[in-house]
Order: sequence, then structure tokens, then C-alpha cells
Amino acid sequence: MEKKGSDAIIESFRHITENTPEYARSLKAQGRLLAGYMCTHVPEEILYAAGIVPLRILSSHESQAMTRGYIHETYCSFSHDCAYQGLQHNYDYLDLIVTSSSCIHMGEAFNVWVRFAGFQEKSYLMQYPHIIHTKPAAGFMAESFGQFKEFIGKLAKKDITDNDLEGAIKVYNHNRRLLKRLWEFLRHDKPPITGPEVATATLASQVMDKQECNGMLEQLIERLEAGPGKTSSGVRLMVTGGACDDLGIFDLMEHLNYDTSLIFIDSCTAARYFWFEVPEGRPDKLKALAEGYIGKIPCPAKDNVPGTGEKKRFRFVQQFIEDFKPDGVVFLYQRFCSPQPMDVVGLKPVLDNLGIPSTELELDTTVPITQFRTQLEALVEIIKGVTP
Amino acid sequence: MSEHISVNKKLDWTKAKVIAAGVDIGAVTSKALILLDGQPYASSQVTTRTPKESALDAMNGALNKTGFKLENIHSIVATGRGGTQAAFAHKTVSEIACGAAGAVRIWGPSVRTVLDAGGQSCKVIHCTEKGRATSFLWNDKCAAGIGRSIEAFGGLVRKDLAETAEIALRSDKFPKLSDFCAVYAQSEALDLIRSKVPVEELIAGYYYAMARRISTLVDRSGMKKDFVIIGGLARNPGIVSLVESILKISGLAPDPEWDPAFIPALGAALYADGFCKRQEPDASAHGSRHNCVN
Repeated sequence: MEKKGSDAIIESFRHITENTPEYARSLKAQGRLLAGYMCTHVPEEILYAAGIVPLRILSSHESQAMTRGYIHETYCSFSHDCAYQGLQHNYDYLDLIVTSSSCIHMGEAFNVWVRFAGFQEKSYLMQYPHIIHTKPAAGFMAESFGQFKEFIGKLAKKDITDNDLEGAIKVYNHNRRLLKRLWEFLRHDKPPITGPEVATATLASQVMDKQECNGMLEQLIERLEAGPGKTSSGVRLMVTGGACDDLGIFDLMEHLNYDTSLIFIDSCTAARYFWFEVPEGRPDKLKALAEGYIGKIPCPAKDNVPGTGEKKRFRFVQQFIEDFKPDGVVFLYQRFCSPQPMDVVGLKPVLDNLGIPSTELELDTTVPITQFRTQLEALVEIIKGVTP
Repeated sequence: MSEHISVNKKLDWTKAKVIAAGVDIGAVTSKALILLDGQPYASSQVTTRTPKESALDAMNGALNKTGFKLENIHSIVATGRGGTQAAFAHKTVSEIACGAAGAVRIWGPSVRTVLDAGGQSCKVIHCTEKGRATSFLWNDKCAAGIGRSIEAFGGLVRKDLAETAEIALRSDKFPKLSDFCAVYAQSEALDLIRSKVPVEELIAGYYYAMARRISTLVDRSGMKKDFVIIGGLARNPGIVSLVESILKISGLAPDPEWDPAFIPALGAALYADGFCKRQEPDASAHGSRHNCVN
């Protein structure tokens, strides 16, 4: 049966996330240049200003052994899976593959594409400061963004002007504001949209032309604001952790033996992707971009205040807890990821002090549904104080 | 078919106000336990094949010598890896909650840390004096430190579980093996076999590595006294002794009347009993069919 209203738009977002190559080829057929990016530290605005559509390389969720000969076993399954996408030539239509020097696992996935998947002549590794909470970081970043802009200008055969950059910044900021509004529906009881649906739209935005995405988001928000509440909230679960593009896990969180709602996801495939803005109207666009990207919720791989060991991300997480009021938190991270589980060690006591129960789910290519279900249901039982 | 059946002949089921049952469908074995007014009455254990039929086999085994039928049971709670497959159960409750409830029932209200060392997973549970779980930690996605890996090692050295446990208990000299990965550890053990290292030392080394892995999980979770071990591996004196030695703590002594593998099933039965007594027809599960008497 054909879906109507907001459900139809959500269905379109889901279709795009599940059929990204089909969507991307439709853009290609319109004569658009396409750039795949492997990390959200890449300033997409520069690509967009040159008329290139950036789309994020996500995983296939196929169990495979092919990449074991290219990347060490103890690299995370997300990086293996993304490397696999290159080796399988699933993204051969891309005009460029780009990443930033951030996560070493995704760096190796990028190297596989460059060395073994035919992207040697159409790749760019952008330098990114190792620790972002230092004074020289902004200058380093602006310079690196400048080099990237120069490279992209040559690739697109276009002189990227300040007006082009300002226009791209505005389009991207608008997208961020729309996504933020969508997530903010989940702050309240009986929202007109579910957490997994918001996660779907957020994931789709990472592989879509931003103006097209903005149009869909505007329509969606308009319909949601006019529509009734969809679900009661039940036990409110928040996710914090690393990259996860498996929407099935988020669906599972809302289909347990108890009434539960997924109300927030702090990850680079969800809130960390868009929960910031780049200052508009600044004379130096590259410095503005650097300021914006430094202000992002930090990735654990970059988040270390020198000399103190302080994690700035924790402040954001605490703010999200205050705003979204979760009853429980799920740490979700890729097996063999180092920075994300390291953050669990610091973050768990913060949650314990707030009296918020938590559990850890370790992701691999395939999802152990039964085990995850048990862990999530046990977490909910703890939250509800179930006794014999 | 049931491999273990037990019935308490001192109790008369016809006089019971509440008949409650718990069924624990684990990865290796499935257990069923029936309570009459909160008192253990009948139990059964079978090797798990498919969760659905093993759940039924275990329950039928427990019912076998009781004189009553499944329909006579007022409330059934299923737990364990295959808990959702027990179609006859009225509700499901996680093995975390059931493990804590069962342990406190057996060892008393002083229990605060329960190590549930099973065939396919290893969990550390913290609980209150009333048996309410307050937090838990699950083993990571690796076979090291779980029952299956110890069974598999027995195959490698061609000895059964009881033999390897007994050897591990009496050996104090052993080589260091990896505790990071069960496969690496077995691979290292194979190398040592080829180097003519005595098999007794190998077994002790492997047991020590696995016990260290389990102990790390307990350490990460935080030790709160009193400490008990439940699950299939609690029947393995080699592992129990080494875990206690590494953690420098003595767990509460096992109750000789209770097989520690039955504790989650007992917890499930206690939940069934509690649901029935409180008349909570829909306390947890959606669409549950509740059959409690008034």
C-alpha cells in the first residue's frame, strides 16, 4: 500500500539509504560530479561549492573475508566493510574519493581504495590536526582546507569563489538546522516521528544532494508539525558511540519486549554529523569553515585537551542527557575500535553519577540480534526496577 | 530427551495455590524448573538442539513425573538465549534479571556480584539484597572464557571436561598462553604439544588463560561482596578455583542441593511466581497470555 504524508517521505529517505548506488547514478546521469568521503571531518562545503555532490561511503553489511588480505584483522568491521565496497567496485562511478587524517582504521580503508580499487588518480587525503583543542589547530585546518579547495577547483575545472563557498555554507547550515529540528521532536513525549525514522533521514542526508535533501526535510517537518503524535515514549534510550549505519539495530531498540523509544544518537553517523554550524558572512571562508569544524562534537579520536585529558565530547553528552532526558544509555561501538571504547571508560562513571543505567553493544559486520535483544531488555528491566 | 529429571516427593502439587515454572533455553543446555508455592518441586535439563523443541523437551521432562500437565501451570517465564522461542511461556525475562534473582534466593541477601559463566556467554551482574539486577557487563564478541572454548580445548587434548578440570586443579606449573583469543590460545597449545610440553601443563595453562579472561570481566565490572558463580562453568572446579585465586576472593560456597546451571531457570520461576502472586497480567511482555489463579 502506498504510504502518505510524512510516512511517504520517510520511506523515500529509507529507499535512498538502502539503494545509494541507484540514487547516485541518477545524479551522475544529470551530469553531476560525485565525491565519496570516508570521514565527517571532510568539509563537504568545499566540494559542494565546486558543484560536486559529496556522498558518504557506508558499509554493505555483507559478511566477507576478502578484505582480510588488505587490512589487518583487528581493524574495525566498518573499515573492512567500506574497503570491501571499493574492492567490489560498488562505487566505480565516483569521480573522487576523499578522507581526512583522522580515524586510522578508515584511513586504511581509504588506502585500499587508492591502491587496489582503481582510485589512485582520483583520491585526496586531507590533513587534519591530530588534536583539535589547541591554538594552532584552526590555522592548520584553514591552510589544509585551502589546499583542498585548490585541488577541488582543478578537478572541477572551476574557480571556487567566496560566493560559492558562502552559498554552500548556507545550504549545509540549513540542512543542519533541519536535522536538528527533526531530532528535537524526540525531546517530548508522543513525538510524531520515531527515533529510527529520524536516524534514517539523518543517514540519507549523508548520501544526498543537500538541496534536494533540504526540500524533503522541509516537507517532512511541515507535515510532522501538523500531524498527531505517533508513539508514546516508554523507556527512553539514548545511544552514544561510533559509526553505525545499520538501521536494523535502531529498529530493534524500539521492538523489544517492553515499550521503548530511541530518543537520541550521539555518533558520527547521526548527531555528530550535523550538530554544529559554520559561521556565515565571514570575510575569510576557510577560517569560518575551520571554526565550524572545530566546534563540532569531537570524534573520540580527536578529543583530548592537552595536559588535562579532558574530553569535550562529554560536555555535549551531558547536555544531550539534560535536553533529551534518557532513562538509559547504550554504548554502541565497532569491535576493535580503540577511541570509542576508551571513552566508555570515562563516560560510564559520569552516567553512574547521574543514576543512568547503561550497557555496551559491540558491533560487527552482522548483528547478533538475540544477544543485543537480551542486553537491551536487561537494561530496560534494570531501568524499570523489575523484581521477582 | 531429558538428561536430568528431579522431583521433590515431599510436596503435593494438588495442594499448591500457585504452580509457577521457569525455563532457561541456553546455548548448550535447556533447563526447566517448577515451583509449588515458591518451593522447588521438579526440574529437568536437556541438551539444546533447536530452542523451540528444547524448551518443550525440558518442560516436558520436568512435568514427566509430577502427575500434572502444562495447562496446570499458572505462570511460566522463559529466559536465556532462546527464551523468546518458548511458545508456551507467558512472559520472557532476561537471564540477567533471572540470574540475579535465582542467586539471591539460593545464597541469600548478601549476594552483590553474580558471575554467570555459561556455554556461549559470560556475564557479571550486580544486584540488590532482593535480587534486583542493577547493572551488568557482557563478555565481548570472543569465545575466550566461555564454556564452549573449554569444551573445544578438551577435544584438542582428548580429555573430557571433568578430567581437564581435575588436572587444572592439581597443576601449579604451566606455560603462559594467550587469554585474548580462544583460537590463538589453542594454536599456541598445539605448538607446545609439538614441543613435547606435558599435556597436564598445557591444560593448566589453558585453564589459567581462560580464568584470567573471565576475571578481567569481573574486574572491569567491579567486585562487590558477596560473590557467587552460576552457570555451567560453575560446575567446573578448575575454572572456579582459578577465578577465585586470580580475583583473590572466595565466592560463597556452592549449595550442594543446587546445580549452579539451574539458577537462571530458578530465577525465571521466581519471576513467574511473583507475577502470579501480584496478578500482573501484562507487567512486561506484549500480548502475554496469563493463566494465574486468584
